[in-house]
Amino acid sequence: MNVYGFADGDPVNFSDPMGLSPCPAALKVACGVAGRVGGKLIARSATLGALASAGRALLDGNRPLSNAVAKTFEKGQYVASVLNRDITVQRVFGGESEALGRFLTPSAPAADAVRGALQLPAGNAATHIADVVIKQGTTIYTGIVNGSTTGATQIYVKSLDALKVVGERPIP
Amino acid sequence: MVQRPSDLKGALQAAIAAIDSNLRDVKAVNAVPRTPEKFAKLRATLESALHAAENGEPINKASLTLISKWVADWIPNDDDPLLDRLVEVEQALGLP
Repeated sequence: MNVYGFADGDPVNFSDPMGLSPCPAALKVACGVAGRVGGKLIARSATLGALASAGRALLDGNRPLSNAVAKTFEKGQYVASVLNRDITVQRVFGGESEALGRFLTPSAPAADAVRGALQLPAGNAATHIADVVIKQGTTIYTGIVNGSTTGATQIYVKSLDALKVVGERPIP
Repeated sequence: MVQRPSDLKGALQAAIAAIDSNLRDVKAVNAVPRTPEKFAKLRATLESALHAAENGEPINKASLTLISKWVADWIPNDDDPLLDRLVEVEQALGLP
């Protein structure tokens, strides 16, 4: 019997204070509540496979997200992870929202469902999709979009400097 | 904190004051392209809502729906107090 199974056999670096799923010890503050959805989210997206071994770096001084941002995630739950390599994700934008912004998604939903899926604010005209690279070492916050009609996943990044737009195209 | 409808004017005034506080930090505001224009658009939207609230007119809720999410997307400081003020506006209006 593996008595440290709750922590994937690694009780030094992982913990599971709420009995939800193992969280990197350095990420306990942000991961504790959100861990419940972590496995499902990572399994849903090959793009986020980079997170599998991530999370051992310090997390922004363990500062959680502001209430304004946390409430954009379903039930206020999100997973905080530190990328161990660059990843490319997507962003839906247009109008008063630009290609560079903090709210991203692993892959953009179908055009006819994008507004409801991502719960876009009125200022976002959703006319374009951007490919955005998030730099290695960046802490990302991942979870289900609050109110999403499709259960879509969003990624939030605190620092705009951690992002680089590498392409953009109109939504057909 | 959930605000009562009577707190709407106070929430709007506090949000406008938070915008003006940001606009005084010209260096930060200009760090990201088009940020000054976005603050101006946001301020105009909130002023319009405040005018409506003070005159007992209907408020354009569509223009304020998810406004804290829109601002969190581009504001220079990701945990700016302005975001909390916008959440209070949304709560006072009963918006999600």
